Amino acid sequence: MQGIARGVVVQLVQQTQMPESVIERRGRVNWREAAWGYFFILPGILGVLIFTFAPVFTALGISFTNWSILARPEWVGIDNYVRMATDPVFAKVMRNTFYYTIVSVPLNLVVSLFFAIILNQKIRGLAFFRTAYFLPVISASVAVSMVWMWLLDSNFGLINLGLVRIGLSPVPWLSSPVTAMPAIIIVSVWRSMGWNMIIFLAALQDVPEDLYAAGKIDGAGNWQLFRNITFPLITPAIFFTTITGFIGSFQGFDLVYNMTQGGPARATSVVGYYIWETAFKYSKMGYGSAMAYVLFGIILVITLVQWRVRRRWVFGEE
Amino acid sequence: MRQRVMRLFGVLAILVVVASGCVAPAATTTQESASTDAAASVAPAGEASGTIKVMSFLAADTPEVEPSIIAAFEEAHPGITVEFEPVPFGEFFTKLKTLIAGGEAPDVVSLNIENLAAFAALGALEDLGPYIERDNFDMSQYYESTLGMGQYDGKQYGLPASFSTVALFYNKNMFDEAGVAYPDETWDWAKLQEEGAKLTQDKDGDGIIDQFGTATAWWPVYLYANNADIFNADKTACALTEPAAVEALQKYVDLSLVDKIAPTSSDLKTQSDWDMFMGGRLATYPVGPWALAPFRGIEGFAWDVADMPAMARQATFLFGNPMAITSDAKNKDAAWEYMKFAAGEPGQRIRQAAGFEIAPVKAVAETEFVASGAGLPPEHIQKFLDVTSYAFLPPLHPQWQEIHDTIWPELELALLGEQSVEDAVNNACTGVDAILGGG
Repeated sequence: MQGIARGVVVQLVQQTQMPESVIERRGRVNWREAAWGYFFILPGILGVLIFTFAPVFTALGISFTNWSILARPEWVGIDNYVRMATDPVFAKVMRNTFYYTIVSVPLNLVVSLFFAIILNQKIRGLAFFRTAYFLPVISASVAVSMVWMWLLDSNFGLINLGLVRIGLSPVPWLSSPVTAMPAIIIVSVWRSMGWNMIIFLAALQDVPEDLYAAGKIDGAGNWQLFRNITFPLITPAIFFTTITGFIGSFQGFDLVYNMTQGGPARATSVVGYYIWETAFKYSKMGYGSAMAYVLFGIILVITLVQWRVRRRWVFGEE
Repeated sequence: MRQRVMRLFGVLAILVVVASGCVAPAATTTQESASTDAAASVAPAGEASGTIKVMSFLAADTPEVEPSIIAAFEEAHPGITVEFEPVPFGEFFTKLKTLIAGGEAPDVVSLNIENLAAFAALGALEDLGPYIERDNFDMSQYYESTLGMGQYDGKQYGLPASFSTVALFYNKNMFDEAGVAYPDETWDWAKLQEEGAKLTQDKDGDGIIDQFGTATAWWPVYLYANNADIFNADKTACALTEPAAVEALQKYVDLSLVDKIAPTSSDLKTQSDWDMFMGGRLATYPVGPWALAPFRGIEGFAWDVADMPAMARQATFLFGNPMAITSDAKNKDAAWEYMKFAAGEPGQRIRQAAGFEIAPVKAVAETEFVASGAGLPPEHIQKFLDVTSYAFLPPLHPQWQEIHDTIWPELELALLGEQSVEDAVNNACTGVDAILGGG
């Protein structure tokens, strides 16, 4: 899901950067050529219409019904939305989702920026390290989950063996309701930081060298160079990764599904997981769709707010 | 061009409407046929013929078994052709739902107990009562306690195809070393606590328990063992807050937290009770006959099976898989012929020979299931059949999955010592009552 959301944003960004030559010629485009163009993108458009738009709008309708797949959908108006307000599990999974998002997104930004800055230096084995840090992004999430479940194992896991070796007490990572969510967050940051890192690397390399030279002549130290030159110039990249990070975190599902099934005691049950449970385990398509639409609304509002406040801090948007 | 583009989008719009419309009418037919079938009676017996579709997850480990039952059936009924589709358990019910919603329901399906209730409640299964009556099909050939797996709301929707009971496996060497007599039908809770303490040992004195006296069974069994239940009699309210239920769950939780004779939930995250028993870390372990084949490979110690320890009474689980006819089946008479064969004695003999579970037909279980273990451990394989006298089916409710997921997180917290059993059952009942009251 994360991948798709990011893909869409990337496409939007690319589309707004149309080469000027195309815009100039727009008035007299060869229609025959254009028809061929539409023809070639037809499979893509059809795919999006049939497999994305149709289900998305159907789900909106389903969210006003009770539908178990087997029996005919029964129209219940806004009952499913009303029920959400009093469903203690929904409240719990919302809290879990906010917890997960609010910790994992900033942590991810800090960690990935840190590694991007290190990997922007001229160090030995640069290509190897860049590849290594990107590897988790393209690894299958089931494999990632399995490996981390072993690492996090209470008695035999490498992480606890390390903690005991340095004199700390072992942590019951995935088996305690207190530590399970932090464990999931650690894995999710490890897994997705490579993606942000690549974006930050590209942004860092776009910062003109002569600005640093000028800064140094004016007597700025490393921190001042970062604070006054690097940071402002990479704010567009930070903005982009924040938005995609929030969207991805709110839709979080696979690590929870693979590692904890929402447990122990629902401590790691996030909205995405509860929607899946409701729709496919309990066969309540209506209630599941309604929750999906509420989640969509929350993501939309948060994204719009971020879009609004970007003028205050993103370079080039003032 | 603009017109052409518009026309293009027009076509696309129609495609979308058609694509999304495909789902709706199919769902409607299911509903209608379900209601008409319920009223219809069965035609008098004639020679059934034609083709039937059978979809099953049974005996997935030994994929040749069901086809050999079908081959034997086709030989006995030359007029009927069976199209067989094996589907793994993990994707079975999603697939079945989709097929039924799409009007492509198979004629005969295998089910598990909770899904039989769920599908029957939605009108997706055929009531077998009239067929049983018409053909005078002998239901007394089955173990009485297995018939419930095919029942919902007082009607027989399925015939039992296989079952398993849970009995107490024990490591004989550990009992000998600790000087404890082997468990038997007289074991009650006090005895379990007393002997379990002797069998629980920290052998190297490092503070980590190396050998546990027992492990817990699936929690609802303790309710039954204490004459309690999850629901009230007509399943309209949660009954976990009743004193007998609280007492039973308290004893269950105390086994690991207070008596400390069973592994805690975090011990089990590291090594499952199954692996603990095989690895010689567990003295007694309640599990079913699916453990027989793997445990026969154990070389380090001798083992046997015994009765389950009692609370107010003895109780154990009877799990099983019924077979049923869908209400959308196109050839119900032929489907019923197949049911009588595959879930009756001829099919059970073939399935039992493959040796995964127990045949619900008494004549087959008492001969072939018992004979299958001749010369092999456990000595008292007959126990799996004996315990059917006090065996309970798992909780039956169409929304069991959701009810379970409401209760279990609360019990998990109790098992971790993070909330009292009283709080756990109060919280659980609030959620369960909400589901029962129209969720």
